[in-house]
Amino acid sequence: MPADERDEIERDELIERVAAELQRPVSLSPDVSARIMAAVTPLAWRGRWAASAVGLAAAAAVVFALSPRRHQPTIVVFSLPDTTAHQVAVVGDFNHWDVHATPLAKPKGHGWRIAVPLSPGRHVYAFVVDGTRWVLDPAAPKALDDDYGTPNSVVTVVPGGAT
Amino acid sequence: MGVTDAEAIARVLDGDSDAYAVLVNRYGPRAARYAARMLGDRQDAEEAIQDAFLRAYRALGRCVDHNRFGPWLFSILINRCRTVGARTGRRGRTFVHDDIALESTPAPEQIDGSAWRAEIAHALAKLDVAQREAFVLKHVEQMSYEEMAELTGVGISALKMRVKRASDNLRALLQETYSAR
Repeated sequence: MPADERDEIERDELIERVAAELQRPVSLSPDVSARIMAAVTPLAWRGRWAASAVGLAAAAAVVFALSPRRHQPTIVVFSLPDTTAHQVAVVGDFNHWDVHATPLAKPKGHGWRIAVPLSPGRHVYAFVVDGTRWVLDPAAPKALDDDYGTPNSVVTVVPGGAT
Repeated sequence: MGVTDAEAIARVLDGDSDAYAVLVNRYGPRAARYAARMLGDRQDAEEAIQDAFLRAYRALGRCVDHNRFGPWLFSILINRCRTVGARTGRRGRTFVHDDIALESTPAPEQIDGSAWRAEIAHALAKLDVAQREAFVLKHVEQMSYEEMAELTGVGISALKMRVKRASDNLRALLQETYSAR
């Protein structure tokens, strides 16, 4: 066999041997899984809490407006002019991305909308249409790509109003 | 019959946080291998894995296809490893030996197996991050280029070039050791 053919086969074999070695299982600390599970708390509980908080905070919006405090929430109206949807929800960092927490309403003659109190700062969110379709807010800037692979919109709340 | 990813996720979203353990146990070993190969340091790998699983848990509502939790988790893990690796690089950690390589499940037949594994780990660490990532996803995690493109956001042509360059660099670093075995 010519030397260059032997070299070619040996080079492929080398990468195969390297790959085989790297494919071996890796042992980490046995308590990694336990540490992960210790940090998780029930999501549905947080979702129900968030839904209740939205209702209470919306009812108290006038009080907040009359008693200015540092970092007080600002009421932000999310709206989506989708005439084909049967249900729309807004999900974001403010409701732990819970699709059941903040459904939009569709008053007769109007598009989908919901008023949500948000603290000052940057909030990433999206609409979920009919339970599965992830939709950007056409009226808001798009958030930069993050870890999760889905497109999102962003709203920045400054004291006195959202931008 | 075991619990599917979609069933586990449904339970978690319904309030049963313990059901997340199904996903942690199912994908933990593979996540550990990827993080270990990318970062070469036990503590960094564990940090990246924990961070990835917790981020996935908190954003579980953003997992659009519950039957594809694995790839979705992996995309999070890839980014976490990039972040941890960049921070480690700025710290200027000198790669002296790889305790993960030395403690991996040992080869039953090799006399110098631990030394060979250490050489491989050392050579892998010498690759730039992009090449190492592409090589590990292709040759260790055995993904297709289409899967790699989806998870990394990098085009297929660029990924193929990175894998080729990584392979060439590893050959250059390991040929002498390999030929002498």
